[in-house]
Amino acid sequence: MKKIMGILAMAVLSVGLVACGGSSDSAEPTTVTFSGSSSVNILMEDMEPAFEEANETIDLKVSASGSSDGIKAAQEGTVDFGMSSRDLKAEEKSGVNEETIALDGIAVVVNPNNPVQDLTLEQIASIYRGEITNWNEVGGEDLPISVVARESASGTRGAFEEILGIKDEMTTSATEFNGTGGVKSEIAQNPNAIGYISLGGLDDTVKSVSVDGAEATVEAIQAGEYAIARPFILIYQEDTLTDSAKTFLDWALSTEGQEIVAEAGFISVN
Amino acid sequence: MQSTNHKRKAIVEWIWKHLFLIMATVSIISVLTIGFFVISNGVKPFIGSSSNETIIYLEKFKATDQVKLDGELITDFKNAIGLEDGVHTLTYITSDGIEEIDITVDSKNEDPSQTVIFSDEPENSSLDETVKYTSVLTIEGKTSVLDRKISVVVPEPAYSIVDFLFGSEWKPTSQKLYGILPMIIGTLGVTAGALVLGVPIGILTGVYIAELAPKRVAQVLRPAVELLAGIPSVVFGFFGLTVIVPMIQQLFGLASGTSMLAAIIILGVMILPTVISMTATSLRAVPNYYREGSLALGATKIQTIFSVTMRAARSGILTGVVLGIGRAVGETMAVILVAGNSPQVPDSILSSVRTLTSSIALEMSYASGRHSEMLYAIGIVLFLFIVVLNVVIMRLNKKAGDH
Repeated sequence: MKKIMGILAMAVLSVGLVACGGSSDSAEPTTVTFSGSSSVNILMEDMEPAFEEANETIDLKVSASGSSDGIKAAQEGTVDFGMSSRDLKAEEKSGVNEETIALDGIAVVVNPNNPVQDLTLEQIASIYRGEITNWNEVGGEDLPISVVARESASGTRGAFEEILGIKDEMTTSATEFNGTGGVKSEIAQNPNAIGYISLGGLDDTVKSVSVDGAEATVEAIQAGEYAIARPFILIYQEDTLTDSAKTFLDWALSTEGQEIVAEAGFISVN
Repeated sequence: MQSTNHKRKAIVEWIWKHLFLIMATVSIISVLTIGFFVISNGVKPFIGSSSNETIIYLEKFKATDQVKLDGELITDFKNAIGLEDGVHTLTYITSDGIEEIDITVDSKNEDPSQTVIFSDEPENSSLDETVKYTSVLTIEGKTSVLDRKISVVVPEPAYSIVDFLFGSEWKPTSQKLYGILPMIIGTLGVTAGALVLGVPIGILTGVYIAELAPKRVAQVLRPAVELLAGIPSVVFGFFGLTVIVPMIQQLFGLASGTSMLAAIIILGVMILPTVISMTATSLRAVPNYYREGSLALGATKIQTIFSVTMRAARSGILTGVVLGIGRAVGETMAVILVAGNSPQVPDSILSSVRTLTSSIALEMSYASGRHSEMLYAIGIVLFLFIVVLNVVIMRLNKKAGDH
């Protein structure tokens, strides 16, 4: 018993010492808070260590919940930056500033066993409207098409439908999954499926098809050849922006910050 | 000595009594708080419009642009400006010249396309009204980044409860249609299917465990069933997605195996533990002399089970079934993975369907404004489902108790 108490006391003491050591460091670190889109969060995970290395006194705190949530948080001023992976709706724009820090491609994906290599934008739109229902109409095998989509109000879906011009026109028989992971696992196991995911989420379990002849790559999107891309936006209030937050915004748009964007598999805005 | 003992007893008594009271209050308060929160959010779309006023918002206008609304110079482009019903004149002077547009706002108009009318569209501009109650006039700049945008957003009027409950279209983002009939049918269909599949299996298994199984077998079966109840639902869902869904797809040659049938199979298995353990427990509570009396009268073992023991345990078995319904109605994670989640009225058992709970879970994190309030309203519908179920349980118990 005594032994245990001794160990406990030691532990408490050492924790206390470490805590003291921490606070005796130079200036108190200031915190910059982020909340919103889970897609932008993927980029933030790469930006965070690079930025904190360059600015040791600034601490970034990022939480991912969803684009709408991030926009709301920025409007209410509960965070420094809201993150959104879709354009803001007119009623959401009031009272806030936006800055696009990167572009993300949306890859149209099919099962790896599907022989279809290329689709046009019109074909994709027709498939999602439910007008084309068999793969042989677009040069594939005689198999029914299973249309896979993200849930309504998802940033990825909003951007995808906007670019194709099929807002709320999608066939109601399309199956819906939440999250990139859900879409990917369905497409990986279903040879008839077609879906769309963020470019950063591409891997071997699914095959991306080229759209209008252009492969879904960072280079094609930069050259404007690949049409399906959407912005990553930071939303903030200019009047109440702290110096540290401003430092981050400048850094994110600088060459240094944009290099991280490219390294993370997204498209820089420069 | 005795008096102190007495005192101590009284104090302990007092503490316990109040502890019970406090705990009861805490649980009632927490339930009421959640109920109030869901209901207060969920009734909003049906009692009033989504906001108080029509707003106009100017975007990408530069500080050098001169914009006048009804003759008043606008200096702050960051905030939306409220617009009353009537004709407004918007004048803007940019480096490209002067333009004047009349905007007629009639937010009370029944026809959403008539609520905002731009008198004329200036050169190089386009009007976008794909999002209902929102009109966006885009004035082209030299590049798309320099496009100026004028958005007018009209408040959405109160939504009719009939359209909500019996509307068959769920298109919340731009068409602003919030019909949950497909989800109600999906929930009822999936639950009914799960009962047809799970209840006979569950009740017969429960009877076997309580009445027929050798002691050793029952000793293994009972904990196994309880273990089944403890498996997280997402594991059931994952099993369904990787095993049941591809099987259904190949068996019926479908485009996708995610379907009502897949959800029914998974839910049918998930309600088994509830039904089995309730059946077994209530059968074991039947006094032994019932069985002995029946056997003494010459009934066989099976006759005794069906005509005497199960009849005596009817109330408990029915409660098990109703609890199973509760589980099937409320199950979310497993269903999201296997049901396909299409907001359509299913035309066969192989169609992809969406349930009420899946809708909330799928869309809550991204929904905003009225869309999210509608998800709370779905919560109220679910709440009513459960209230009805509880009333049914009470009725059944009363009836069974009368005999």
